[in-house]
Amino acid sequence: MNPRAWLMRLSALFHKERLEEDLNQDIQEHLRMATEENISRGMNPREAAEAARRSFGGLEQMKEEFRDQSGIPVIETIGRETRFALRSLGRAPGFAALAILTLAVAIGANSAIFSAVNAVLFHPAGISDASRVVVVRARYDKLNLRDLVVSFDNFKQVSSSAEIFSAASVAKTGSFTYTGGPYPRQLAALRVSSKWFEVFGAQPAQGRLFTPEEDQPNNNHVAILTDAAWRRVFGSDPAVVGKTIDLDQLPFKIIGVMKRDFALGVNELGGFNGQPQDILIPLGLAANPGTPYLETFLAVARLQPGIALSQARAFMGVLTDRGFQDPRAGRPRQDNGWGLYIVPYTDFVSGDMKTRLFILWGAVGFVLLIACANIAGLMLARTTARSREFAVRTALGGTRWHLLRQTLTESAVLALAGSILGLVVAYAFIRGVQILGPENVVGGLNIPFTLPMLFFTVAAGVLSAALFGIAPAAQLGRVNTSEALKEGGRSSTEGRDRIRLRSILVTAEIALALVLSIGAGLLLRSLQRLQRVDMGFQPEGVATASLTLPEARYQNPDRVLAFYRGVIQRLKALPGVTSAAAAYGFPFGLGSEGRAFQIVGRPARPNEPALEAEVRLITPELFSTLRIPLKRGRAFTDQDGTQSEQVAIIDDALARQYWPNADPLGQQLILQGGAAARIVGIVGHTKQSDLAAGSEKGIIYFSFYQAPVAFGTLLIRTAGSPAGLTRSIQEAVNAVDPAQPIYDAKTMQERVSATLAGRRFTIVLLGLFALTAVFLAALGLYGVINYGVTQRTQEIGIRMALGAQRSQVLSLIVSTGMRMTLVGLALGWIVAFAIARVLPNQLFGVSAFDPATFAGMAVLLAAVTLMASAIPARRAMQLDPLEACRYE
Amino acid sequence: MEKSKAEVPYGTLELLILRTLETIGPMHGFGLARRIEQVSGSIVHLNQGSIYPALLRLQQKGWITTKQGVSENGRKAKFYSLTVKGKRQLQIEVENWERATALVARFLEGTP
Repeated sequence: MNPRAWLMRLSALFHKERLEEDLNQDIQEHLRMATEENISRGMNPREAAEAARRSFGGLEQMKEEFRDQSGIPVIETIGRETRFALRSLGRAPGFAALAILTLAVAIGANSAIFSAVNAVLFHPAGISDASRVVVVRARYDKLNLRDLVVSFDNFKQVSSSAEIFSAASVAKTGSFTYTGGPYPRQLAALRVSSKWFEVFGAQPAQGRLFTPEEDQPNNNHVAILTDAAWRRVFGSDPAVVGKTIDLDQLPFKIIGVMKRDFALGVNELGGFNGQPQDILIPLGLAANPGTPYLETFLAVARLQPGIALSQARAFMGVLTDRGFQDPRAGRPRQDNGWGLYIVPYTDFVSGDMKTRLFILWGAVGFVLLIACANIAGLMLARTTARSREFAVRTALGGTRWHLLRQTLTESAVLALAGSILGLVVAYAFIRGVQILGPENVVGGLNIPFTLPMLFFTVAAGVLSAALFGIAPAAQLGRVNTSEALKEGGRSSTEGRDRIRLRSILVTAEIALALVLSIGAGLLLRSLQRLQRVDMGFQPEGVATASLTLPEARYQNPDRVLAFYRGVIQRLKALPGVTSAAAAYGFPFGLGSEGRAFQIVGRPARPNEPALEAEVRLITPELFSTLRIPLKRGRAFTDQDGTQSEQVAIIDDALARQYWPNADPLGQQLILQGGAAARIVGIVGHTKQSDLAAGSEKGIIYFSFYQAPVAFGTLLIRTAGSPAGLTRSIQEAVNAVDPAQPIYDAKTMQERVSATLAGRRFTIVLLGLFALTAVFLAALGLYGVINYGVTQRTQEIGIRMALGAQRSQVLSLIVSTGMRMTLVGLALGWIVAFAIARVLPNQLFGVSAFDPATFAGMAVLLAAVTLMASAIPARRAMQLDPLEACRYE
Repeated sequence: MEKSKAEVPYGTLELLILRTLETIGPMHGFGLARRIEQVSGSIVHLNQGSIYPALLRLQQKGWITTKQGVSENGRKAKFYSLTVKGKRQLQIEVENWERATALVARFLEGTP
């Protein structure tokens, strides 16, 4: 057909009524002319009109042909069917509402999780073309160390390989005291080399980015603010760019403000899951800082266009080999299985979240399946209820295709409504998660409404319509017209078929619901186990707050010591406080770092990996504050000062590892680049940052008073509530130094708990989905049983009339439900067994096949389904036999 | 309806309309129908109504166009007329038709 014809037909769709009117006028005119002609030939008016109509031919037939020709029949059919479907759904508002709501919840949850997956795993906010960004890491295979930050040397090799990487940058975290505001504030800083923004493809919202010249030693006194800091610290000052501020009492010029979505939170260990930094400052490193061993930099790079990840990976092998050639460090590197490697940024960031998101995605997929099964069940019930309507229509000449078309249209209308409402649900869901989710899990999580999400929602809707539309459509073929038309004829066989199909659907729903419940149950048990893990210390009743003393005022170590001694003294004087300490490096806190050390009198043999330990600097009362048990020897005392012998305390994990058959007490160890220290005590091991981690490195404690550092955290044990202590801590600090801020004030329990937040939140969501699934399955079962009771009312009446006890009726109905439940549970077990293997890295202390969870969840689900079938069973039991027998 | 009269063969109605419009110029639906009836005499039977869908088809193809006009007895009526494209098309249609009838005639008259 030519374009003009299409255009005419298309426009006809919108002017249907005018066209019809035009045609009617033309016909009227035609008939009038014909009549007049006939009259002029001598007929009387009635004959004339009659003859005119006769020679015109079949009026309706012609109109029909005209209509077919003028519009686009398919679209008109769809329009007609849709109107019909809307009318017919309107007659069953309960069914329609239930189906649409169920769908909306299921599709909405799917869309929300999909957009989270899309945003987090594939398109993180603020980063252009994130799939091209990689993180450069180092590993020591023989030491079982991975995921380490790299040295400046390594970075320079990466950044000078322009054929592979278009840009590379390094970063370190830092912290500055900002004194320009109403009170001193600690600002978290990220010190970056100049190409940091190029790697992430980020642009400033105001001002400009760093130039390479500003990334030089002593020339780096410029700063870029993140959007959050600009709002929070500088009150959204529109003229902030160009201002000079004091950081650690040095002037820094603000040259730019980043866009809102560029908010990376680099943590101390070079990960990206920390709190977003407030300011960015050029690293300003000399051309060759430190030794090639000094692996302290987070390095990132952007792949050259056209370079595949695999090519870049292969190139890292080349760089690793080059690292072995390095005369300064090559030998120990090779001995320890050192190597450089890259991880795609999106993989690197999502880490644990990736598995959790996929688990959740699978879970919502199950929920959608269950929802579809449920709606299919409802539609089957409708088909049965309408079998006479269908039969009448068939008898009147409706073809099977007509009936099918109508059922499918109904499904499509439901799916469309469900999808639209689903978008609303998804939006609410995402907002809810952002508001209710724990800060360290969803903080900075930016899930925009995107076109892919819309596509996904539509696709989910179409798929659902296909899923729940098929069963009723297939059943249509079985409508037996003559049976259904019989007066009072109960469509016996078809009814039973449909019930069987619905029973199968419900059985499948129960199976899926069980799988979800088992998954949620396993994760929940893991969480319980984790919360009961012996951490080696007692976090209850401990408050913490961190501080960083500015170098300018605290260059003299004695001043640092005096500060801490003064603050601790004041803290201990607070009511309720039983002990107080300061530490650089403490469990679940900042400042822990792995260091190599040697044991005096035990020379390192070639090919033997270096000894490694976590190092912590503490004041004497840390052990009593955290209740870390002293196993042997002594704790630090105030007498362990700069003038006395260097002492160290080790934990029993380190003792077991390096003195398996000897007594470490009295031995001496040397930290790389440090002096020898004598081991005077052994304490219990503590967990460091991960409750789930298995074996961890041993710990060496040094006395803070022998090696004071500007960075520190105050820990205070109180008999009262630790959460309310923040103000008192700030006051104690300011009594010693009025210009000194504290930051990151948290209770010890909050710190431990935060490490579980992601896990806990996953469980909450999974639990929610499992509950939805169970509820839907129960609803489905209730529907089938209830329908069965209605269908069998007469039979039940007869049974009762023949002497069946009410309890027998009850068990008759309940046992139908329980049969489905048992089959469903057995199926669910099989499926759960088959897919439990996706869980192990999320589980802790629980087998993926934990019998207690498998059994417990089955019992719970059985109890719910028992209730769901008991309600209709009760109705059956209370039937009046006489009434029931007469029931039609 | 007389049995001896056949219906207008499918597809030829459009050709008849085009040809009629060429001969008599712009005309309303009734006039067209009457004219076709008159010319075909007793050969075929035409349901007058059936020319309207055919007229619509011809409009969609762009071969004819419509204009409001006044009929011989002074009432408003829709007048149909050939377009330039329609004139060209009529030539083609006529040639096609002649070829087809010549072919059929040859088969029916002699032994092929």
